[in-house]
Amino acid sequence: MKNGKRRIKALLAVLAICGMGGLTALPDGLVQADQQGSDKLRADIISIDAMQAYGTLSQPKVVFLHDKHTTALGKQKDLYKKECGTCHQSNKDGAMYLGFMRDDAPISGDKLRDVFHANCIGCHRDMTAAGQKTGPTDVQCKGCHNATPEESSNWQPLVVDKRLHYRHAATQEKADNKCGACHHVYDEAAGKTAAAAKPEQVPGSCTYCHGETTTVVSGRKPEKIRSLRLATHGECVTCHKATAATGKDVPTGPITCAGCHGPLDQKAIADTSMKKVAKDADLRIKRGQPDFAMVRPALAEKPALDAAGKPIKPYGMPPVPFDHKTHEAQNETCVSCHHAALTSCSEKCHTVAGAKEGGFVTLETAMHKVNAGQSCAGCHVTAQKRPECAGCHTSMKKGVGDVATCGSCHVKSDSLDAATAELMTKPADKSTATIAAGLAEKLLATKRTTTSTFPTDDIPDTVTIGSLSKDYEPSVLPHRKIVLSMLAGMKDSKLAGAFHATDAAVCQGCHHNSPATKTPPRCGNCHPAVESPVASPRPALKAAYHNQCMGCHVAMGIDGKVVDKVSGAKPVPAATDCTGCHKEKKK
Amino acid sequence: MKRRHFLGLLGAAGVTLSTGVSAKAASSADVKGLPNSFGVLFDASRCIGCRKCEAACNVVNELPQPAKPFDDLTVLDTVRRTDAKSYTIVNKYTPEAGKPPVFRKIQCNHCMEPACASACFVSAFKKSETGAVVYDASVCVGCRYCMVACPFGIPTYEYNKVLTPRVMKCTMCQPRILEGKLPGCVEACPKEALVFGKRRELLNIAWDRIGANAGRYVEHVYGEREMGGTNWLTIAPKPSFAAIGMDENLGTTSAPELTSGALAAVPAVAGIWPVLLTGLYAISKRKEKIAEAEKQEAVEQAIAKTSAEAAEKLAAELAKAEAASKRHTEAEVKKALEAAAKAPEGGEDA
Repeated sequence: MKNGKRRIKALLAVLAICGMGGLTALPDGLVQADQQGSDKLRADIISIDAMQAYGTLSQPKVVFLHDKHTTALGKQKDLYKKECGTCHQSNKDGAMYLGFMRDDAPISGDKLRDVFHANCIGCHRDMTAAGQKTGPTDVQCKGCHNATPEESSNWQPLVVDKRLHYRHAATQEKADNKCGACHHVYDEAAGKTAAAAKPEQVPGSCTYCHGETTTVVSGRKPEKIRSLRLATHGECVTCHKATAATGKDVPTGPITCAGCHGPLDQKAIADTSMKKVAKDADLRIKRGQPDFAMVRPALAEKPALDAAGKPIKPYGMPPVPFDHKTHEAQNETCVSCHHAALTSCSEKCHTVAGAKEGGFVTLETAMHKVNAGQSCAGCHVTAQKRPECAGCHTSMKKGVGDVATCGSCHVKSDSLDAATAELMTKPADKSTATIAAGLAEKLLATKRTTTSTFPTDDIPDTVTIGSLSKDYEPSVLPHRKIVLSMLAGMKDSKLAGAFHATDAAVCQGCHHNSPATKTPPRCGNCHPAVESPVASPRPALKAAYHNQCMGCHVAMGIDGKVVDKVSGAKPVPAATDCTGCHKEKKK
Repeated sequence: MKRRHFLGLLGAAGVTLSTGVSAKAASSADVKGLPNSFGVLFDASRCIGCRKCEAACNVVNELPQPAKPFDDLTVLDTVRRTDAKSYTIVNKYTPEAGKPPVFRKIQCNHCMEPACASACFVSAFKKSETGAVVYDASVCVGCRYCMVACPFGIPTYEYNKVLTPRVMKCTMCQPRILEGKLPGCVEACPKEALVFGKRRELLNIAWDRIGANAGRYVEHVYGEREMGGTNWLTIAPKPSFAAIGMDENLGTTSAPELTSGALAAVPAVAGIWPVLLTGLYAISKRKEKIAEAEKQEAVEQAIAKTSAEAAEKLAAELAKAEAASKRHTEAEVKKALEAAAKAPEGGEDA
């Protein structure tokens, strides 16, 4: 009996140790899974579901690990002299087809299935015969058709940022066909694409023509426009490979899936770009764009008529002077704003009245829509989510909240009004571009470039909040420190400078909904000291203070954290740290 | 007539017949006259989990001191529920790992059509005109049906009291409301995560807040329609109410609406037992009578049918017989005539 007890104790101990081992092993596993290169989280997963085009799948999709196969090919150079050609056929010009063991001609479902079965299993069998480790060879479906694969994807879309573009352009610096190495235009007369050698010839981003799926335009030659996926893999990967073949140690780009789409590799590419591209390098992607422009509606050839046949009144808003160069510096690609084409937004798509080409999104909406990343207001709202901005802007109305704010962008200047009015009567073309640019630059010169406020000595050093003091001592707010640290957070932001147009603007983060002055009214003027039994959307004083202070600390991500750089600095009080702001009264 | 309506009518009859002892369950009729009732709006995105509401509730309701003080926030690490010593508690939830926690205050939701009141056969629970669901310990018999009926699991029981156990739950601070004061928890909240006011105004504030902060809140006011609507309303940050432990599948039908018909019939059936039995007797009698009549009719019809058939058959047979006899007569006549024709020839001999 005693023995039995001891045995049970031992068993329990072993179980406990195993259990603890399991628990400690778990986070380790999670950490590993986060790393790219772990076998379970991969960027090279291709779900083979081509049969879906022919009806419902009778078997689960095959999870195909592309990099695993290319690595295997690399190791078996004797067996696979054809390299990519082992799995991919090429046309007579030598261009590789991206489908497995087939060209791009239409194929029946049964045939396609046979192509996969015969070639996959066939190759695995050949490898087995050669005594190599390989994939499933038997006729058991689930060897490949596995509904619960162990691997999951960490694939990331690829963004060619300005630095990466610069590095590519640098390789073609001396070539005649400079941009044409990648960029092409469709030549209608020749019925094929032609290289766009010069920057001005480049029609813009690949995505403007190459959509999510392959498009077919009947009557056009060739009829098909490859999907973005087919176009980029067909061009980028083959070019990287061809470049590598020109000699040993020739620098080139990745040819594996993870090389471009793996999170770690992407980070490595970005780091290399930072190192290799000189700090003073001109990263601008030159497409004949202006440094300054006027954003305004396109001038209609004939005045637009309303339903009653009367001409519609002209657009009343002053145009928006726009610093294109600065905005370029803030964005990685042209597509950030020019989402469908590099041409004028207002010409055909986003007209004042809205047009079919632009999905009936009017010019006003296209520029002001808060939840569209490519609109002016939408992008600015995204910028307001930065921690240094979020403190004030989280609780503020998003986008254009008030007619008083229109003038922030629709800048007016008495001395330039006549010139602006004249410009509005002329179409936007090369002849007016210079005038528009000059006008925009002058108008923008009237705006602030950095955020500033009242002289430091005029900013109260501390503010004692004590009118409600009951259980706690009054709270002493380090007022000046808060203002100065807010200013430090936006000292490099031209955007913040332009929009915080007056000295009192930054004060309004806390002193909101009241006249912007050096001596804002006391909070208690609007927020009653005593909570009333009548429901009101405006909080009483106690909640107003607490919501304002805590809301800002949380939005900036500084609550409970030490932000002061001086030694022995106290952390910003967390929400439930009452005595962090006001000491408890001695009872 | 549906069974429920039938029982309801019986119930109504029973109530009028019984001698003044009314055990009417709460029904939607009770709240139609309360458009100005009060409520509280709880905004989970504002709650910081400081437990000041718990402390204030404890004081204003003169509840016993808890084992751990109210400024001990480690209490929040365990999910709790209301008990006989606490009308309200705050729980901590982590809807998204790695993101800040969300807190939820739990107390009686003060249903517009309370399940507890409809389950109570002595009317210990009543929906007050202020919106509060209030309890009268003097009539309570301690059956604890209210605790079973509550869809939110709120009422609790003083199991430790031997002689005078009560059902315990939040009163919305009814005595304070009647004095024009705010409920204790609302007054104590440092962030106005709790707002007191007329329910219909609170709904406007709730929806305005959801609309003004696009993307922050779940686009739903919990309690606007749940269980027929509650006077305590809740709005919560995304992703969901379920993520902060709230039942999203309660439906919009109030508990009394689901049960009052049948429950109301219980005392009624007892009250008009003789009537019911007489009625049932009468019905069965009538059924018998009808059945008898129907049987009679059926027999008569059968007889009529059979006799008609028989008559037809007889007629057919008669016709056949007539035809046969006619044929027979004709043959006989023919024979006779032939014989007669022959007779002169042979007759001459005879």
